[in-house]
Formats: sequence, structure tokens, C-alpha cells
Amino acid sequence: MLSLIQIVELALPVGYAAIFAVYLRHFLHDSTGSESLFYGSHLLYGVLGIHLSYLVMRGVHIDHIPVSSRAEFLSLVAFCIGLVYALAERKHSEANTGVFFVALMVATQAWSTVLMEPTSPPALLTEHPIYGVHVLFTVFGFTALAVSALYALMYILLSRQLKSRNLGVIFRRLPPLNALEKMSRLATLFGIVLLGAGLATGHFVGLYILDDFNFADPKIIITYIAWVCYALGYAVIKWRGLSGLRIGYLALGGYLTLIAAMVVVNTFASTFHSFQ
Amino acid sequence: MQTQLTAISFSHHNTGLDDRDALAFADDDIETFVAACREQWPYEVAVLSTCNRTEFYLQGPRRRDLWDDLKTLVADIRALNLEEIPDPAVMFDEEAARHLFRVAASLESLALGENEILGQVKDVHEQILGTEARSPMLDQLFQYAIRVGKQVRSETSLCRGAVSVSSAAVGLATKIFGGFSSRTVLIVGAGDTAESTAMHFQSCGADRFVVINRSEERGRALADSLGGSYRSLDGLIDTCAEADVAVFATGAQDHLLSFADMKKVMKTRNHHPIFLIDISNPRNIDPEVTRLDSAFLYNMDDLEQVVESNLESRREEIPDAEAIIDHMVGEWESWQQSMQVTPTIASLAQFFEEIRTREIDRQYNGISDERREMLDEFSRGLIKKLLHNPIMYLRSSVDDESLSVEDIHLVRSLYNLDDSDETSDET
Repeated sequence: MLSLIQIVELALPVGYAAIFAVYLRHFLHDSTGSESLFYGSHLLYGVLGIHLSYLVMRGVHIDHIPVSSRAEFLSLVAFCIGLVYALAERKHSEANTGVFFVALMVATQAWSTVLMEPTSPPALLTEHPIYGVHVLFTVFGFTALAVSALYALMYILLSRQLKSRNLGVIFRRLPPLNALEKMSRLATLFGIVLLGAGLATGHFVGLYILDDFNFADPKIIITYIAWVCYALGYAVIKWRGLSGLRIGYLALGGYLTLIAAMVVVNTFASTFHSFQ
Repeated sequence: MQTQLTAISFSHHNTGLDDRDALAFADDDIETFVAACREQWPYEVAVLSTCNRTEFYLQGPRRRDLWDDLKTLVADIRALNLEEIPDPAVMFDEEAARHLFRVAASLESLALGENEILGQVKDVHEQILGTEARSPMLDQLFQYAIRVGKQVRSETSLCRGAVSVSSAAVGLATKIFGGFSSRTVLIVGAGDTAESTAMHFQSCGADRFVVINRSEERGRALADSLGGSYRSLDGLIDTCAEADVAVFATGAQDHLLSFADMKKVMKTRNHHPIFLIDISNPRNIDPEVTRLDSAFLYNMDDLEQVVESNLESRREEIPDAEAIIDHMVGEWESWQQSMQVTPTIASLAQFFEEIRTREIDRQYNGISDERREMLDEFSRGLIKKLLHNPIMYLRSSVDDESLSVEDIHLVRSLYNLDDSDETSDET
């Protein structure tokens, strides 16, 4: 099984790179047929299926959910980006933004393949499946919020191009503002739900599995604050029917702030949430 | 016998608008013309008549003065004096095919890259197929033309981007809202410009209109024609707060919508995007409005700039479109050559057979029946063997697509086949 895993490990970045080429071509050339005829989406679903099988095989091989090394974490991130994007693309039948997300997938999966070891040291917590579930939900949640921020960035870029009246490739190839806003909102909703589930399972792990768990860990506090802000923001936007460029800035700014806070905490504080 | 493709064209390149109108063929005219042509001459005929061109495509015996005969027929059908008909552009063979392909690709259109022409070329093809008399050569030619049109549209950007002010406005609005279903379009003004822009939005799916105009009567009339509602000018700010697209096309000398007004509007609408189109002269919307987030303001100059930029982009695509046409002209010529080989082989065989028969007839007197039979058999075998290599060469050249027009001409000239065909036609 190890040889099969290693072959798939090598094949995944190649597969994603091929899909990137297909999406890039789609982005640069107007499609004349309907979006449903775009075969890149089907290729993406196929490779995502292979990626999922790879994660499962690796989990079986190392006997725990494969999230205990940086390489495994990166591979999971690549898979999460693909899955969240594929769901948003399917919901809104809009494949023109795929090139950006697939590019991220190529980069993260290639990085993962370079770093990957045949086995990963089972960290203490990976022995408890609930911890793995917590990591899965959390990674999915953060990835969904990142996807939302990327859509918000596209919204801002298109908006600015429309305002400047200097209509270039962004104008020609990105989907309408309305679609970008909806896709960003859908990804935010995924992010809130999944990160919420990640926090809840993490809480469970802290309370019932670990003896001396520190709930004052800065990373946990930041994540809680971020989750509350996102959930409140989403509710207010939905309730008041807010829309437009300001919401785009809010979604992008919110995510950048979250990442900046995480970087600061990782740099200056020693916490238990770290990957080898 | 070799045939010739002839294209006779009256278009905006060589004919004035009045003449084009006079020469425009309705469906009935086309039917009459095609039937009369087929009755008088052994030609396949097709007519392409649009608002910018009337063109006749004919495939049949080689004649350089074909138009002289057709002119009378055209004059009869369109009830014109012969002197009234201007000189057309007359093209033959490869030039004629290339012209049709350029037309289908919309390189010959008044509005470069317009899409309607391909549909019109398809209609002509339908006409060809619908005519009782068979037109295999023109059928194939128009199939090639349709392929060119499709390929140019799918592989180049020649037909992309709006090239009129109202379609540019609709295109921009689509880029903001995606579509117009359940979107409110506010029309301020009820003049021709306002009406034509509103109609353009309606044709693109907008179905919720509000019209504001100083004159209630005209405003209501436009609102009714759009299936929308009328409001007075006093309700402009409130209506802007509800609208997604607002088109201003009035003769007002001052700003109808100031920066302060728009600020209020944006607050009321929770900063939902709004697309403001100011095609009035002087302008009706304070240009400062563009400083507000999510308020996208385009005036006439901006829209014209978009149109010009799109036209420029289309012009840059011309070489790519021409490359597609070159390729397809080549394919069409190959096909034509393959079609010409069969008659050439037949003519060649007939030429040799005639010589053989003539020579045998000369020898018939004074020889026995038995010897005659022998001679007949011998001459047939000889001719067959002599013709074997040239015929095989022609057939295999068609198969491997290496046959050139010159090859066919050479064979026909060597044996003077064109003249012998004409002689046999006359007899």
C-alpha cells in the first residue's frame, strides 16, 4: 500500500497542475458553450476523489487521521480548498474563478509532496479520533473563510475596475459582482459552521481528553473571537440585507486580521497548536 | 466540363443606402429569382439579402459576363430600370468563396463582428436545401461558410464586447448584477434615447421598469409600453433607492441627482450596488457621485470609450479570423478539386474512346468481322492500359490531398478536354 500511496502523492500535484492548465485556458478564452459543458470541473471532482482516497489510505497506513505533520496538514488544506471551491462552483455554475483556487491547490499539494515522509510520528492527540475530527473541521473552517476572502478580493478588484472604467481582463473574465458576493457569502457560511464544529470538538478534547488543557491559549482565544465576529457579522449582514463594496472590504479585512493575529501569536507565544 | 463559382455583391462597400434598399430581396423575390435563374441557365443559385448587402452566388458553367444576363432579371424582380442598378463587385472561384467566408465571419459587416450575419448565412443555406432543384456545390460552400462563422466566433474574440452605447450599458449592468430578473430599471426621461435604451434592457430580460418624466403623458406612455409604472419627478430620490439600474436621458439643464442626494440614496439602500447611466447632454448626475462605494456611474463619454475599446479589441482579432478563413478556403478548394477529378477522368476516358472509335471506323471497310472484333478488343485494352496510370495518379492525388488545380489544368490542356467537352455538349 505504501508504494501506491507514494505514487498518488507524486501524481496529485501533477493532476492539480493539469487541472490548473484547463482552468487557466477557460479563464483566458471565452467559453462558447454552457458552463455545464466545461470538463475542468469534472476533472477537478475526479482528482478530489483521488485525493480523498489518498488521505483515507494514508490514515489507514499510519493508523490515525493524517494531520500530524506539516506535510499532511498541507495536503489536507489543498483538499479543503478544492472541496469548498467545488461546492461553490457547483452551486453557482461559475467556473471562471477556479484558476485562482486550483493554483493554491497546486502550490500547497506540491509543497506537501516535497515534505511528505513515508510515516508520520503519531502525536499524542492523534490517538484520539475526536482530535482528528476537530482538526478536520477546523482546517475546513479556516479554508472556507480563506476562500470567502479570496472571493471578496475578486469582488473588490472587479468593483474597482468598473469604477475606474478601465475595463481589462478582470472585467472580461470574472463573474458578475452579484455572483462573487454570493459565492463569498456561501464560503463564509461554510466557514462559520465548520469552524464552529471545530471549536466545539476542540473544546470537548480539552475538557475530556486532556488533563491540563489551557483554555487561555492565545490561538484558541483568537479563534473564538474570530468565530464570534464572523457569526455576528454574517447574521447582521443577512438580517439588514447589507451588500456591496464595504462588505467585500469587511470580508477581506476580517480574514487578513485573523491571519495577522495568528502569525503574531505563532511568532511571539509558545502554544500547543503547532505542527512539526 | 469545369464549373465556376461567381459572387455578385452589392454592399455598403460599393453601393449607397438608397440603392441597397432598392436591391433588397424579400423572400418572395428570392424564390422568384432562383426559379427564373434555374429555368434559364444551368446554375445553382443562392441569394443573401440583408439590410447591408444583396449578394448572388452562382455555381455553373464558366462565364465572365454572367451579370449582364442576371441584371435584367434583377431589374424585373425589383421593378428597377437597368440604368438605376449600380455596378456590383463580381468575384469568381477562390475570391468568391473567400468573400462569402469573410461575410459569414462578419469581417465584411458594417459593424465588425456582429452576430446576425451568421444567422442570415444559415438562412440562405436552409433556402438552398429547401429548393427543389439540387445545389450540391453551393450546399457545400455554405456549409464551409457556416463552419468559418462558428469557428471565428469560438476561437477568436472578433464578436465579443458591446459595440453600441446601449449594448455597452447592458453589458456593464450584467457584469454587476448577472441578469435582470427581479431587478428594477429606472428610466428618467421618455425621449427616443431613453426609450431605445429601455428597450435594449427589456430585450435582455429586464421586466421591472419605473419611468420618471416631467411630462406625465409621455412618461405613462413609455411606462405602459414597457409594462412598468410611472412616477413623477418628485419621487426620483425614493425611486433611486429602490432601483438597481437608473438610466438618465432627459433634456434637463441641471443635475437631477446631486452628490448629497445620492449619498442619501446609498444609505437608504444599505449600499447595495446601483448602476447609473447618464446619457443626457448636459449631464443629469453629478459626476462626484462616482466617489460613493457601490455607485457605478457611466456617462455617454464613458460608454463610447467602452465601445471604442471593444471595437479596437475586435480589430486586433482580424488576423486570427483571416487565418481561419485562409485555412477554410484551402479546404474548400481541395474539396472542389476532388469534385473536378471525376468529370476530368470521365472526359479523358471519353476523349480516348472517341479517338478509338474513329480509328476503328476508318479501318472497318475491307476487314472481316472476326478481325474487327479482334481490333476492337485490342484497342480497348490498349486505351485501358494507356489511361491506367494517369487515372490512378489523379485518384491517389485526391486521396492524399496532393492534387493541385494546376495538375487538373495540365491534364485538361494536354488533351484539350475543355474544348472537347464543349463540342460534345453542343452535339
